[in-house]
Amino acid sequence: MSAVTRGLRNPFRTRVRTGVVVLLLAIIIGLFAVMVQGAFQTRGKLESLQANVRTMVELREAGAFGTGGFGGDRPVGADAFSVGTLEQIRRISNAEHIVKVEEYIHTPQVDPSRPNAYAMIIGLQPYAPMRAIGEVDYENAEIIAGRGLGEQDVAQDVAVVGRVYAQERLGLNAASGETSLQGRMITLQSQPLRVVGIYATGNDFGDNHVFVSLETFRRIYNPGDKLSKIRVRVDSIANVAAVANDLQQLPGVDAVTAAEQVSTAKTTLGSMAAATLYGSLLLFAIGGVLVVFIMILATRERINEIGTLKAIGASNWEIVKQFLAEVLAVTALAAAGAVGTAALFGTVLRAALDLELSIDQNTLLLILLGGFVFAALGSLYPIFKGIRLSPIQAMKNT
Amino acid sequence: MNKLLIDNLVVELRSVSKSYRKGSETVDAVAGIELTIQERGMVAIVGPSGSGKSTLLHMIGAMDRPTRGEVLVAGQAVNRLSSGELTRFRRQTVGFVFQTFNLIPNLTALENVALPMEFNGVSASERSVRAKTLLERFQLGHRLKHRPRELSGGEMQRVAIARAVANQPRLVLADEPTGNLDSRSGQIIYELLQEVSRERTVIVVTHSEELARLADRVIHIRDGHLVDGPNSGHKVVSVTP
Repeated sequence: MSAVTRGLRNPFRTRVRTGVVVLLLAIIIGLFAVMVQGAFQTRGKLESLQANVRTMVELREAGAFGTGGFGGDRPVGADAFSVGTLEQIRRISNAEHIVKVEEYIHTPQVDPSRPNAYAMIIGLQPYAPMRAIGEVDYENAEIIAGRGLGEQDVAQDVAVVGRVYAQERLGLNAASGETSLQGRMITLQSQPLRVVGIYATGNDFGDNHVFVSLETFRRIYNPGDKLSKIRVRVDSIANVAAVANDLQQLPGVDAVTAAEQVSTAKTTLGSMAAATLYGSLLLFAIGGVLVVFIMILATRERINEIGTLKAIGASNWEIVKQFLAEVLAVTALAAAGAVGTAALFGTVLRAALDLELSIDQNTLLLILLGGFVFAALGSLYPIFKGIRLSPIQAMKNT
Repeated sequence: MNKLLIDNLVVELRSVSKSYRKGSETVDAVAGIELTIQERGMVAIVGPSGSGKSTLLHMIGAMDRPTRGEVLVAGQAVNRLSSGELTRFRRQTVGFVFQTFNLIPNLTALENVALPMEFNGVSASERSVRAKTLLERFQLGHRLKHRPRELSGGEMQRVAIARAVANQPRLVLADEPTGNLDSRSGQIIYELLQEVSRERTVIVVTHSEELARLADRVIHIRDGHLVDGPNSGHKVVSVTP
């Protein structure tokens, strides 16, 4: 039996320990590979987003907040910002428009008996995340009673209202634990809507909204040709300033710059990229601790064995060959497990983060490299120590 | 021609000392030993724990280097050999038997015995035949495919002796070979070593006077020095004071 064969067989001598080590290495390396891939992809997305938005200009109705839509109490259909705006954009050279109707925002006076009793009505695809318009930026709406809108609510007469709205209009103090929505109704443009949930954002302005489905909004407010926002792609970065200036001249239009538009997305993707990067580094640190643990467990036994091999005539090279083969065997086992781990966690991350994660050539290379590094760290230390000792020193090693 | 070969000597120690550092103190494990051992026969080195008998054995077997003096084994000045020459020396000239057997745990009895032959460049087919023959000679023909954990202590030590003689060395060194065995197994191991000593020199370290009586020559060692022992009834081959 050659030194290489002995080395390949060595990991199987203590199956339980090898099993534990391979399992831990598989998890660490597999997760590491997925997280590194995730970090790269998130950074790629961020770069792509930045490159893309630099040539993108968003148009909103003049004076409208956030994503644009209906300003104040102006009558629906009387606004300049509509399908007709598209024709005007077509006349601007170097500009290509993309119609985007994600949501409608309307700010009617909801209580004629009380002056300044306005609330924001937002119509959106019911499966889209609810983002309320706060005092300075969008705020994520968190359900504090009942439920949010879902697929089943398309065109249904249901609404989710803000904490302040519920308190002012329904007399329901959800913040104090009053969460029963049984029989709670609101009326918009004479249309009764059943309240199915209450949300909160943390600020009063953002908590004074009503969310309904896009279809329900259209049925109630009949927006007709009205658009909530228009995106314009400029054919090159060099023409962005000129096109934005031309767009700003259109009646009833605000041209919003890319930097403003992308700030939120940048922050989110930046956090994701940082999280995956730090996660990868943390996994490496855990891997390092694991390797030290393995070394402590196996070093004495291995150095003793090196002493025996030297005593019966093995040269240093034969010992190195045997242990290198062992490293390769552990690498192969750990890599096989890591591929399985990467496939499993890749599926989870793909669903959770919307990243295109797959076990490609680079990931496989990373897994093999990771397995080799960890296996080498664990196995080569005893060699470096053992071959420097005399056989008897190695056999007496404690 | 080398003096060792002329005198039929296989081992010659000239003023050999071995010192260790123990904290700030220097401990002489072996001090100024002069010793010659002739070819063939069984020599027992006897002494209490810590007397230096194992250290002496390790230096003869090139497992450790002396601090002072010269160790000549089979015509080679062991303490002047390079690393590669030492490896060849351990492969071809000496075979070692340890108290704790030191078999490779994931190799079978046959593979353990074949291992030194592999290091010595013997072909796979030849080492398999030779290992099998040796194990059968040592009554282990039924244990060829067994791994050490499947063998008794006595069987493991017999495999270890077979491994020690696999490359047909001139010298077999056994360090407390019965230390981990019951008296019956110990007796068998000694008889086996006696048999081996008909073809080559066997030096056994032991603290058992009873087992030492089976040797052709007994060397007593105390506090790192050789002392005259009760040699009556034993065949004294050579002792150089």
